[in-house]
Amino acid sequence: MTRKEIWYWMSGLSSWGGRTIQKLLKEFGSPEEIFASKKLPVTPAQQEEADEAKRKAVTFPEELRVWEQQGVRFLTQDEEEFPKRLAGLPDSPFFLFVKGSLPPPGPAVAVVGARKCTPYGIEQAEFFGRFLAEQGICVISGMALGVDGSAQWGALRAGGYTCAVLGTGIDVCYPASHRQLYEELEKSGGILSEYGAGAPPLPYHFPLRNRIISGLSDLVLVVEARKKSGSLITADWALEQGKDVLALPGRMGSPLNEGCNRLIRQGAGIVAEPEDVLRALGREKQDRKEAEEAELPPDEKEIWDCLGTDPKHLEQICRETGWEVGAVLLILLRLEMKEKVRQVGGNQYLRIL
Amino acid sequence: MYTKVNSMMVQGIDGLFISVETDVSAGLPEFSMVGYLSSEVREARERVRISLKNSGFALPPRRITVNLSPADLRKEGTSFDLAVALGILASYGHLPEQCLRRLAVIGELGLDGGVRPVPGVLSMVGAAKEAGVSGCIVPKENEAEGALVEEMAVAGVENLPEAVRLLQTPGAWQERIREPVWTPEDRPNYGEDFSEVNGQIALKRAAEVAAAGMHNLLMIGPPGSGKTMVARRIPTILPELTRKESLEVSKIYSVCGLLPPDRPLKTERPFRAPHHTASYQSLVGGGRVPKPGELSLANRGVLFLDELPEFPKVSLEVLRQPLEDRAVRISRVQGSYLFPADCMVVAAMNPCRCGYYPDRSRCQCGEAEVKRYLRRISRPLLDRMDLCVEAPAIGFEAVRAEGENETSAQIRSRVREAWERQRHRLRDAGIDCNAQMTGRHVKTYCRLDEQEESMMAHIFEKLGLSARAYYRILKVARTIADLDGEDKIMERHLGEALGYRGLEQRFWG
Repeated sequence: MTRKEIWYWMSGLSSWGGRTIQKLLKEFGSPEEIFASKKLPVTPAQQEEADEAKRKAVTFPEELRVWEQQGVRFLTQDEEEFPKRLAGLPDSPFFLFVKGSLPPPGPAVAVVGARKCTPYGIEQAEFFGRFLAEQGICVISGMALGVDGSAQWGALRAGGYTCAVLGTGIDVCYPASHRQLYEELEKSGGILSEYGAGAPPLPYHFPLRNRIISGLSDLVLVVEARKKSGSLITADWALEQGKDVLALPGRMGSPLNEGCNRLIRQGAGIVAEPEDVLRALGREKQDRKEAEEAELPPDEKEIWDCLGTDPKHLEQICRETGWEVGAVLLILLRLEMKEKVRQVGGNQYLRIL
Repeated sequence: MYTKVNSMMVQGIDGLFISVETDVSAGLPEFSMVGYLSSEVREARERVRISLKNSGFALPPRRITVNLSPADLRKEGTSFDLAVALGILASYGHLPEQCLRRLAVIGELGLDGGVRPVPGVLSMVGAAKEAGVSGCIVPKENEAEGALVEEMAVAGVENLPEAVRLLQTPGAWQERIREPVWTPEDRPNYGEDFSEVNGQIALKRAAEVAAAGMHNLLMIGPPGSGKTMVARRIPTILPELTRKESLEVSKIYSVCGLLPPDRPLKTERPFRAPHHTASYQSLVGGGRVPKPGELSLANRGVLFLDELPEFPKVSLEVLRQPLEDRAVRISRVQGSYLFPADCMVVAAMNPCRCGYYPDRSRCQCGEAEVKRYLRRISRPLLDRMDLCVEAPAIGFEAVRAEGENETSAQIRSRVREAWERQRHRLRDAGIDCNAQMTGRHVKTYCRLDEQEESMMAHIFEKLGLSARAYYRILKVARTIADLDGEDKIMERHLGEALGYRGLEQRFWG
């Protein structure tokens, strides 16, 4: 039984958490000793599961080979490839399942936020994903609905590297509606998880995986968060790990900005312009190909000026400009074609950053 | 003695000519009725016998046989009572038989000899005219309704003795003949007007476009944004009904017993708003003896489906076929019934369960929940909604705004012009509005120039629209161009039409 197989044995024990393994390691000294021991100082249920799994140990090499065939690597902390940033953490995972590629060396930023976010949040997340990718910075996130997914899509579209840390088994696409993102990440980014085959999205998995998200990054950027939000847990982990936390400020009184504003009050960095993130990383803005602000024709300019980063309804645009519905719709369509404007919901429009 | 009296019944929404044959002869005293009768017709025997007695007609005991012919057709309804009574009186010799020959008699009897109103008089009198009858005796309450049929003498009677008197006095009949009550001044009166709607510029414009092409319209918006208010006013901007259409609409209402006796001609375009708990039979029509449903009652007008996702799936699915055919066909053992259903469907819904999506400060619905809510409406039905428009929540200043709003009459005149353009263009295609165009018609009548064609191609690729959506957008663009008075579909028309494409999947999520 190789050490890797022993780690694999432990990865399959759903009743064993990181804490249990840590305790046992302290007591027994090495994974081999734990594996050899007949009676472990654990609960009967944990003991039973461990014994049960041990009996199947002969199939481990075969199982690992099958994983390999499916494009999943099982990495343990003893291996050279295991991410250095994680290895240094006090509660580092002992092993990881990896699909796609691991984050390349270099700066990395976690972009996290609410699942039920506003169109503004989506827009910002996607913008920062794109912006960071263009600056050659890795984007780490959790592949969740809302902010997480949008940030990762942004990075993918800009051709940058992004990796998702899952709170489910490596082979589980959660949420199911992100199947396309999952496949895209597998192809041109990375997917990590400390959970093995088919682990379900249990509520306590997510706060724990957040420590990996923050651990892999130099900086955590919170886009939108409610008062009680998983993103705030990521921020807490980041502070514990000695990483910077930045937050996007929001309007007072808006429930989706409460979390961010609170972070700022507690001392998180404020992002007033995209460059703030670079500054926090101690980097200069690389000459990002300045999108030539092609001069818009006057009519398009007027409508564009009327729009903001929050969705605005056709109705209000008509009222503010005094134009007819048909004319406004035509201009909006032109702007949409130029990717200056996006339609959200039914007839609401916002600027694309 | 044998006599024959003409009477009428309703089948579906059409009147049917029925002969009531009566024979009184010697034999054991008996009153029998034959002719494939349903139970309410069979019961006429008791009503007729007692009302004759209570009206003071003494009839010596004889053998009375009544036959309703054609005998192979199931007789339904209570419209034969009066004809049976008059037939018996004629057979007994109380009435000269020839006075009944060119008349049709319609009416239900009460035990006191009173004549009660029946549904469907308009259809029956209309059919009587076609059968070559020159006069009709109808219940008093239905007199005005019957009189709508031109070149037909219609007399309303309150009770049996009055009917008998009318037939016995030669001059009395002529006096009763009334001119048709239709006058061109009989303007529709809706009691509502578009000028009462403040704000909602986009919604109002979409309503105008929908009305101009009889397109189906879907309105999405938070509660209280005025969706219902606008929907109720859509009939007011549709061009007035022609006399023929008015009669067609009135006929359906008559059959359903929904015509007010004092104002029997419906000159207003119908507006029907069935509640979402309505059964599907009540929507498309049905029953053992098929009656028109809401869809047919909305014929030539507006069928408003509020809270669209709350309608049971089966109710919405049965609407699909009739919406395509503009008619409902219901089949029963005794035959099939065809009800007209040429209406525009206006539907309203909330964007999600709570109604505030995508306003995240108020809406807590998850993406999956929003999608699930929208999925309650099937795609084929959505495909029939040519225009989708979102209504924003109304701000206070918009509600308070005192500004001059356009009146329904102003909008209506534009809509009428657009209708005329369409009629003229589509005259060879056998349809009369843009909404009825099929893919083949779109290819013929909605040609794009090279420039517009390439613009559409570009947009389609970019937005990932379906071929279905393509035709829908072209149809709507055609209507917008008609409103604009243009023969060619131009970029601005396409631009606006694309603004109403609405619920394409990718914009929700």
